[in-house]
Amino acid sequence: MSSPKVIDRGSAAHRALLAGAVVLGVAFALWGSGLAPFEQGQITRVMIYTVAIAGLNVATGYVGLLSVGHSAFFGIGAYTTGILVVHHDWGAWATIPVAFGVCLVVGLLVGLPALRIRGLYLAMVTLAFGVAFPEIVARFDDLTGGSGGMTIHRTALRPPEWSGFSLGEKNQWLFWLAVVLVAVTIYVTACLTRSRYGLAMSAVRENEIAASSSGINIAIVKTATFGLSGAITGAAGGLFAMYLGSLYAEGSFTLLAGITLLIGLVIGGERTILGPIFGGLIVVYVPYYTSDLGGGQFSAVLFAAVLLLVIFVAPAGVAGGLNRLVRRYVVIRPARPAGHAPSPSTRGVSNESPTSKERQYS
Amino acid sequence: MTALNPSRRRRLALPALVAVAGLLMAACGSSSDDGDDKASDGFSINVDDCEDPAAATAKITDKIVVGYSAPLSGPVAGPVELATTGYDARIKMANDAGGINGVKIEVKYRDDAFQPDKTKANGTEFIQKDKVDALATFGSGGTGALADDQNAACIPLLYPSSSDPKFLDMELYPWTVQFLPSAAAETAYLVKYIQDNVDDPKVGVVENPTASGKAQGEAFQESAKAADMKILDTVEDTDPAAAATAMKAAGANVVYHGGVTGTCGVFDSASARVDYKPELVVKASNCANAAEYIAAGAGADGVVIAKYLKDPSDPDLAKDPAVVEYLKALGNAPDPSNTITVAGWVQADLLINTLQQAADSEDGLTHQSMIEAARDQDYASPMLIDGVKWVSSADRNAGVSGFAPYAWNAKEKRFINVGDVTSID
Repeated sequence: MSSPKVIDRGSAAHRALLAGAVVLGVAFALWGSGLAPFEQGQITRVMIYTVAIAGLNVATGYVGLLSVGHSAFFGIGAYTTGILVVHHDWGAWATIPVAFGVCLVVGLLVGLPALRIRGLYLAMVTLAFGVAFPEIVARFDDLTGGSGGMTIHRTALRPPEWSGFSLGEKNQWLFWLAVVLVAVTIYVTACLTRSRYGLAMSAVRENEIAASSSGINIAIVKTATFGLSGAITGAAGGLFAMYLGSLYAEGSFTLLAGITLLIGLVIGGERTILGPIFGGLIVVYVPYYTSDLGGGQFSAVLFAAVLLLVIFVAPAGVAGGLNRLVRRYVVIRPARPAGHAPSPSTRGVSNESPTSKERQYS
Repeated sequence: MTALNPSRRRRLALPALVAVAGLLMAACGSSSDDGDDKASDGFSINVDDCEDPAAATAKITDKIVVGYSAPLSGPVAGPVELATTGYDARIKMANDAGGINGVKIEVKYRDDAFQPDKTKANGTEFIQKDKVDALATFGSGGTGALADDQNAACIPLLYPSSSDPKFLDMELYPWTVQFLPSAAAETAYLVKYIQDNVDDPKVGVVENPTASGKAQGEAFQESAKAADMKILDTVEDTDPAAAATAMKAAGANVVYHGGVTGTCGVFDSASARVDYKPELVVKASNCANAAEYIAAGAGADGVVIAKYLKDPSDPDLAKDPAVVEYLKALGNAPDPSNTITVAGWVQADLLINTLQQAADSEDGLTHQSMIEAARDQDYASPMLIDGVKWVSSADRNAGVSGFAPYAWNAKEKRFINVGDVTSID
């Protein structure tokens, strides 16, 4: 087999590839905007889950902070939107930055235990957070509607005038809002993970002692990452509230939702930029089609079987599997100063093993 | 701490700032409520508000398609299977009898796994792709997920298994008619029952810590407050023995138990273990599963619930024509005597009665005539307890007209009627 073509990051060929990806993204968005309401709604759901999973990817994928309770961030974001719209007459879309901010603060607080514990023990902490969330919602029923839920009437979800969409075109507005949110999330995540901070995240994941001895403040990396992770998932929650218009903590934000996000991340491909997109597609479309194939409880079994199959075929997730395939033909490598080979010390702080690198550049 | 280099930082910060600033600036100009929904004098439907007014008044001549988004998988799949068994049996019986003036009913099911976002997706697919004539679902979460879209599209959501007070607003949700009695109505009835049957009631509330249990507990406390009845103490039933001990210590001679299926009888057996025998124990109507009380033994003797559905296993109703017809239609279906199965049957029966009334109207069978019929009911559905009717009008939300008290008889291992039907109007 012939050697793969090597493309340097920042080269003309690389820029052409990026331009192609952007054109593809725009074409996809235009195609989606012309879909019938049901299909468009499904794509909107995919994009909401994409953002939520991308948030989880930041903590669990890039830093290795296993979280099974991200459903709580999803819920906090959704209820932030609900409360601001229902009780304070905010424009729904404008609540998304607030949802991001609130979840950032909560994420920083929940991330504090990560300073002392990791692995399954941290998972237990996030599990408790996820389990407690519906109870907390029920406790503050004056704000949240409690067990009776919170309904955002469709007129309160009217698109803003400047958007050019009418109330009847609410689905179109949500679709485009989701497109923007996904684009911003992917861009920010890509920049973040390739920055020096991204190197620090990877170093912390691979070996905390080595990272610390390299001058990385592990406490800040861990807590800040957990906060950012929760914030991104919270922003997705805000959009979810706008999509659904009806919030029931025991229906949408249970531990099951947290596990769903985790499944999406693992199957989509952790530590990859495109993994959350595949994850979103999987958590929306696999249950949809398996439910068509098998009725009732059988569909749940079928769903599980499909997931197992994906894990066997692509253990690194769909994005990881595709990446491996693409690397047979094309390899993108970081640009290097002319005449400078990578030094051993540079390799020492490298944030990626070959495997993780190839995933990240997908 | 490793920091971002300046150029990277700028690259990250700029788009984020632009996005956030843009969002915040334009927020001021966004509107939140300028109300498309028109108020009405009495109940009337203005189909001009519908997304497709012509579809709302188009006559249905080929078949009536009902889109049912149900948790066919997930945590409540078991009860849903019972409910849909009853529902399907009644629809089949109607179709075998010729349908609605010759038009057959087709029920399309889609699984939502009890997740509201899936219910919403199902609803959109039913409305946009399948062009259904009516919708149904299971649970308040599902109803909430469907309500906005189906009201905008003017597709009737008929008799979903929910009782969310938010969707009782006929102005906001004219096309939504729920099936379950509201917790407020049921608990008001139970409060009155307590006052009529116990001198000097000292009432304690035991509630399940789930949303459903808490909602019932809160509704009971509201009803008690409205009736000027004091509540001594409120505890959770997580540890039934502790709850019973707390009630005993508080000196409660009446207990309201807002339990959920699976927890209903456990409190009674725990009460017996701690030697606590209040004068009266009343429970939510969803605590009607005989198996739980059988397991609870003598401790459950005398527990009272408010009922509105007939019990097919009641020997006194063995020759009741409605029960005979029901059991014949259910055939070998599992657990036909389960309250949930009966509820599914009655939901379908109400739908059929509504469709028939709409078909017989001047306009014939249309979406508009269907919802108008659903808002104009005075129907003694055969599987409702004698004396209870399904009532709805422009001034009254749809629901049963009353309840009858039934007490658990541990010796006979069944609920026995202990009083007349009392109207809740």
